[in-house]
Amino acid sequence: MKKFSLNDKKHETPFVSPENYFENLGERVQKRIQGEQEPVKISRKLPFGVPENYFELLPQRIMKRISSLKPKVWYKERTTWQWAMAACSLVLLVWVGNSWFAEKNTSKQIEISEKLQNIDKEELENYIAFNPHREVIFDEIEDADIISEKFIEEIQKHTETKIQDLPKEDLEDQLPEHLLQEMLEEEFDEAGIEDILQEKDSI
Amino acid sequence: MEDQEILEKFRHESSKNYAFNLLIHKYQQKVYHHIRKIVIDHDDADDLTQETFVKVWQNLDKFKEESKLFTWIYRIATNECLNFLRKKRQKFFLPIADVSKDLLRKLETSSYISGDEIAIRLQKVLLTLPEKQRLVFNMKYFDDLKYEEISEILGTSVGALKASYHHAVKKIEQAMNSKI
Repeated sequence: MKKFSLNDKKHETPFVSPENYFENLGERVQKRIQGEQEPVKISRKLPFGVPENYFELLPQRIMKRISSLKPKVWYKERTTWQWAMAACSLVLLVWVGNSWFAEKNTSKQIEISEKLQNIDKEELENYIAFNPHREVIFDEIEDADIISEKFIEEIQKHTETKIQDLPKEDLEDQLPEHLLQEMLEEEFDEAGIEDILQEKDSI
Repeated sequence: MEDQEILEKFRHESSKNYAFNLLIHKYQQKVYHHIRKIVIDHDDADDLTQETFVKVWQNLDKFKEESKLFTWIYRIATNECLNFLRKKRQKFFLPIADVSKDLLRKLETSSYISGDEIAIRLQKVLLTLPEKQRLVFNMKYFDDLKYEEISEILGTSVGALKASYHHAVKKIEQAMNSKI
């Protein structure tokens, strides 16, 4: 084996520098001299990995899930008049709840009771029967142990809308967009921005 | 394959499944990563990705092509994620801050998280942002979407998005450059 000698040839270091490193070095040294802290370089790399072959198998798993979709639950296949009947039942439920609340004597319950009094029965029935969000409404009721105050407020808010003004029944209208907007509003309020959210778009 | 061609094939019963397979192949990675950034955990992201495509399948015939297909799919995916986080809060009576803590815990303990320290630190900082601000930041910074596209997805004005992103960037840079 040949003996190592520094005289043989010029040995290069194994080190490389990042692209444009020296172009920016002067500026960075100046900043450091001025006491500015060097910013951490944020990469767009995400720390998330997936199991092996995940994306190869995913389409197959989705198609399998689609082919095994359960038949829609009863209320999702109802005709308009059946919806109207369901809406009547719901309104009755709300009014029974109202009476129950009225018997209790706490200020919160009285407040809820008063709110219920202000809702026009017929309009509420129509709202639920013709509302594109009706599945969500019924899902919410199924999930909830009691009719929440928020739910009542939500209904009250929407009963102010005339039925003919309700959006067309398509996918976008089935999405509870108001949730998105409410939450965005909160966030932008925190940022001190006012009145920035647009009206519902027409995607 | 162009979206238009996929949609055309989807309209015919004989090529419906084929077209949907193409659609999944085309958008699965974008949708998965969009969801994963919101819910952090792989298993949750996997479930929500599948659910998103199921919803797309169920409603694609109603898609009116008034927006880009991918913004429409993103919108469904975003909605699925926000509902998922909302239900998590309701189920466990958690305030938003505690859901963030839960996501932070997942970032530290879940499977399929790489060891890239800076990338993990950035995600931790992102989890300190308000939920919607994090959402806007993710779509702009990582997915490189235009404000107009994010606006289509969230139904929010471009001005609001710009302001939200600007605030997020300031907060993130400040947090990333502060000593731990």
